[in-house]
Amino acid sequence: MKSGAAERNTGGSELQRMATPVAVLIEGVSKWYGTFQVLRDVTLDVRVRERIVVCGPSGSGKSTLIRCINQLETHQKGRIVVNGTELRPGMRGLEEVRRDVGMVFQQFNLFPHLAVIDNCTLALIRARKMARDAAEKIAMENLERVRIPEQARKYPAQLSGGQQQRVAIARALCMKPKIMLFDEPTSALDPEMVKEVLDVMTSLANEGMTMICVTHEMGFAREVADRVVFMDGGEVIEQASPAQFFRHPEHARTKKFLSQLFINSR
Amino acid sequence: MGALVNFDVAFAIRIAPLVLEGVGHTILVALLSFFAATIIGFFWEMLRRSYWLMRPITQFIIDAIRSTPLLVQIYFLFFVLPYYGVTLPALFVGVFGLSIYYSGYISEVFKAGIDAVPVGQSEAAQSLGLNSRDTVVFVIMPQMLRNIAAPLGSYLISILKSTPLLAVIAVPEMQGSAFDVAAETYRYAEPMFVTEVLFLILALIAVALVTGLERHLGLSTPFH
Repeated sequence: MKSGAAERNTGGSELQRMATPVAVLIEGVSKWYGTFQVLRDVTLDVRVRERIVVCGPSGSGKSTLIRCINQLETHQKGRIVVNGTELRPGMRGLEEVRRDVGMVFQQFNLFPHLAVIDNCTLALIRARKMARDAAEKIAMENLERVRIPEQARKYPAQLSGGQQQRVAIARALCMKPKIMLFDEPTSALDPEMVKEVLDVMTSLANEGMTMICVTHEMGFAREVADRVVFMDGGEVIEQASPAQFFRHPEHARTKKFLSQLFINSR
Repeated sequence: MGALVNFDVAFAIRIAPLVLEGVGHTILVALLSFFAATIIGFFWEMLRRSYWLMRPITQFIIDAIRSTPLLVQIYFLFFVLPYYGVTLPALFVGVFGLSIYYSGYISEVFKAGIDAVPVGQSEAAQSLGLNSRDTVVFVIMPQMLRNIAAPLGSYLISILKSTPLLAVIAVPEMQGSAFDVAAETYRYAEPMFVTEVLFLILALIAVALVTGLERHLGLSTPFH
């Protein structure tokens, strides 16, 4: 874990960051639900191998933002470019873009009618047209990666929340995504299961995965993130390295949010 | 009450085989109508979800089908259509009428069954890059099946119990056979009673089959 922390791009290597290719570019993105604006002119670029933690109070638009990156939500203004492909509503080839963007949900969303291994192989067989044997081999590799290979033949309902979330991570990894999105992956878990999921996410980060995580786990943000993005009211209020963000937050809203977090964790 | 006082058990037993002659048609009509109604009902539901404009149109058709009596629909198909040069055989009209009528109800079963699958399921499938067809076939449908099994089974029973309506257009099912016996012997109590009993037996068999099938397919228990 510590080696990963040492490797990461810190504030000092901004030049180095700019020299790295862009994985996700979000430029002036706005979105409305009816007359209610959920995203206000959001601009954010994520470089390859970068790990971003997005935080903010509930209703700040952070989930909506990462759901726009694989177009589970559509944006109405601005540009989103993922791995060099610009996303447009109703575009062709959206499936190909999504195959390179893994997503992990708060509620796991495992397929309850399929065994763990079949959860992992479904998209390989159907979307990647892979033979079952080859798909199962990849599935087992990824289940080992999240340290849960012995549960391959069980069904999701037979697993604990933490195990289910690790399966969900393995399922996403099977597609060999270039980017992983995490939408509050530990918020639905019992406290004693949070660590096993964060550990998996940390080792994923250490392997160099490009990650965008919406999470309230500030310990994870501090240890793993290259950059913390704070959102409120649909806007990006502040983004900074974890050290900067936690020690010297610039904006009043950030300070208020952080002070509330620390009250809650006491 | 007079008929009940004069109820002749020996006569009832003697005419039972005559009423039973209709059982083949009863079962045939019920099964054909059930399968057709299920397919048409599924078609309505897919149409309703296909395109925003199809939603009100399909809903109107479904509501119209459900808002008029089945008996009137059957009369219409059998006695009015011939005026416009469309003459259909009674058996066909019977199956067609029952299928269309119940397809309206069964489409609602599919709607509820699909709506009950959490939206996160299709989001997960999409995020893995599955196309919409594969999402429906491999993620939504297997979970929907579990939701619709029980209500669909009860519609099979409903359809079975609606087949006597077809006696009015002379489909030779059990109720029609019972009417024939009554017309020849001037006795109603026994043939009607025999029909009741035979329907009860058929319905109980159908319930047992449906429940057995649900259990066999593991549809009646929650996920593992």
